Amino acid sequence: MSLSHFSPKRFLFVLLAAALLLAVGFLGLPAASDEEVAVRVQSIPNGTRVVLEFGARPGYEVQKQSDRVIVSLQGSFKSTPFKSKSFDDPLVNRFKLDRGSRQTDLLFFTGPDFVSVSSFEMSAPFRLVLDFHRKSEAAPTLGAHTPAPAPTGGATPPPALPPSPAEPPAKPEEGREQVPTKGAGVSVIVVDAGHGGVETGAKGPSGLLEKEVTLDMAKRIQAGLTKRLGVRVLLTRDADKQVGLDDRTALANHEHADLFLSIHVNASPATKAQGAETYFLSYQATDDEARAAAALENNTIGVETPPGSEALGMVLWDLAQSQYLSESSKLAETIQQNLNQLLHIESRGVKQAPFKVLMGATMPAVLVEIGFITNAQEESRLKDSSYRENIAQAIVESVATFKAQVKQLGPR
Amino acid sequence: MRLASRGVLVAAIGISALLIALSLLWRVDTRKAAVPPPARNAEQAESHDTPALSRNPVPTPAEAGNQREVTLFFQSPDSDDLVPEVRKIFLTDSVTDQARQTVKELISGPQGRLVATLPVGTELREIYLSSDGTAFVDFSQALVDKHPGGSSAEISTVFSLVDTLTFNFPEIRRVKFLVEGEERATLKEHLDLTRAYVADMSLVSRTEGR
Repeated sequence: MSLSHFSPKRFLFVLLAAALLLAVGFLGLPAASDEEVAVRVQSIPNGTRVVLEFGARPGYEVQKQSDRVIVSLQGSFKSTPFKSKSFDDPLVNRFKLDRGSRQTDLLFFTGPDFVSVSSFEMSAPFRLVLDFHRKSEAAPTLGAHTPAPAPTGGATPPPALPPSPAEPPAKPEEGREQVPTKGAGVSVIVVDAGHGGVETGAKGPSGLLEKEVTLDMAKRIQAGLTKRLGVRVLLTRDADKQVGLDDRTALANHEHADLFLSIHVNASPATKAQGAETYFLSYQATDDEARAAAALENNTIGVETPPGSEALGMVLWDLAQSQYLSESSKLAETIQQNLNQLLHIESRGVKQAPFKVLMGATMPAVLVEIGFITNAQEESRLKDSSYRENIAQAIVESVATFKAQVKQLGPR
Repeated sequence: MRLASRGVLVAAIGISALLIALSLLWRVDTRKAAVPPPARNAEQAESHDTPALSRNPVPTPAEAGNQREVTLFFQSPDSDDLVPEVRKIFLTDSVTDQARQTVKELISGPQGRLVATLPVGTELREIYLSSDGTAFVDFSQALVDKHPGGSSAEISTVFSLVDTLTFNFPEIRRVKFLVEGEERATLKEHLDLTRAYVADMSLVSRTEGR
């Protein structure tokens, strides 16, 4: 190779061009590639489901605020197929993506019917599923038990309204004759006295035991319901004895009860805590439930169910309460309103938690914590018989309101 | 001519190298900007009404050495909320070991005005971390025997542990309680303990302890 073929000018040109290309190439590439989240919104029996699908599991937090639910994602995300969108949906009105440099917020603005949100994860691909639950309106399509759309409106529970003339299905029934089948209203109620036997429950500073209070309360509520509504009321225990949690719900299921009321007395490490709380089951799904939900979402029921009928039974037991959640929440709201009014405590509300004793119930089911035994003042009030009677009556009236709604608006 | 072209050649190589170096530097710079440290800034916190917590805190250079900060969640004495309190633990190699130290701090209870969520006398037997991100936290029988019962107390026990572990360790996605090495149905007949729990940060106070 002779040196004469070497042209410095050409070499210089090629070199500069290469450098420019390299520089442009580096600068032109997007600095940080956004991750994608696919957003799907669909209607489910008890509300609205939002499925967020990711390429990989992101760091995230779900927060509920007064008018919105925020999913905060770590990192920079863009959403598909839309960046923001309005929905013709009473629970989720609008979706908006708010992207920061280190965090992306997915904002779901909620509508007037919205009451709570629950979330669970599914994998391959990773999905975060948010279920927005409806306020008091019940329209379960599966095994509708006592579908009872509430009269629309405010936070106050509707009183037992007389049947409106515009509502033909509400045939006034003469007498107390109830058809003893499901869907016919509220005719059998199981009242569960929390704890018992060696399971003493919580204990007050002066020694009052929860299991004694709950048994007495259950008996008072039983008497009140029988007198006020003429319904059949069963107790899970009528003495100081231990009863398994599954046995309590099993009794209600076996007797085809229309309501399950579990009566408890609360305890908190914060000894100032006071007031009543009403709970219904929350739906933070377990892996098994997520599998079942995945099967439902894919419309391939049973595909991902673990082999063996026992495992299937377990899943169904855990899922049993899921289709009654909106009715349970409605009953819980009514009870909570009445108790707050009675006790002049406005700060406490309806809560959700995964209570073992509510999980297997195939009917609307709530757990009422009538007061804090760990609060010395409330403990002493809880010893008082007229105080107990007032609380029992407030619960009886709440059930009467619920029953009237079910009877008025439910199908015959 | 020969000398001149050699000069040009050297200059060209120099300029090219400079251009390439500059573009590389620029690239590194923008990368840094795109992936900032985990703490949220003030402007970010303003975008919603929730004051931000810095997730997965990392040791600041000042304290570097072999310690890191963790955030523990205890019960507020005035409300149902859980409230953060910061501790330092040894920055050991294993996440399980760091989690162990953190749970022991949680058992030791708060240093300020907050209220403990795990009964006095509870011992941590072991923590196992499975490959799917489930931390199995095995306590002594005292967790059950000395637990006060009540829905509120169970909720604060369960979620102070779950939120503390998932908040500080991204490797931990859910937490399952064990007592004396075995699964239990419940602590005191309330919350279902056969399931593994994911975090519920809605229980954490938005105002207290910041």
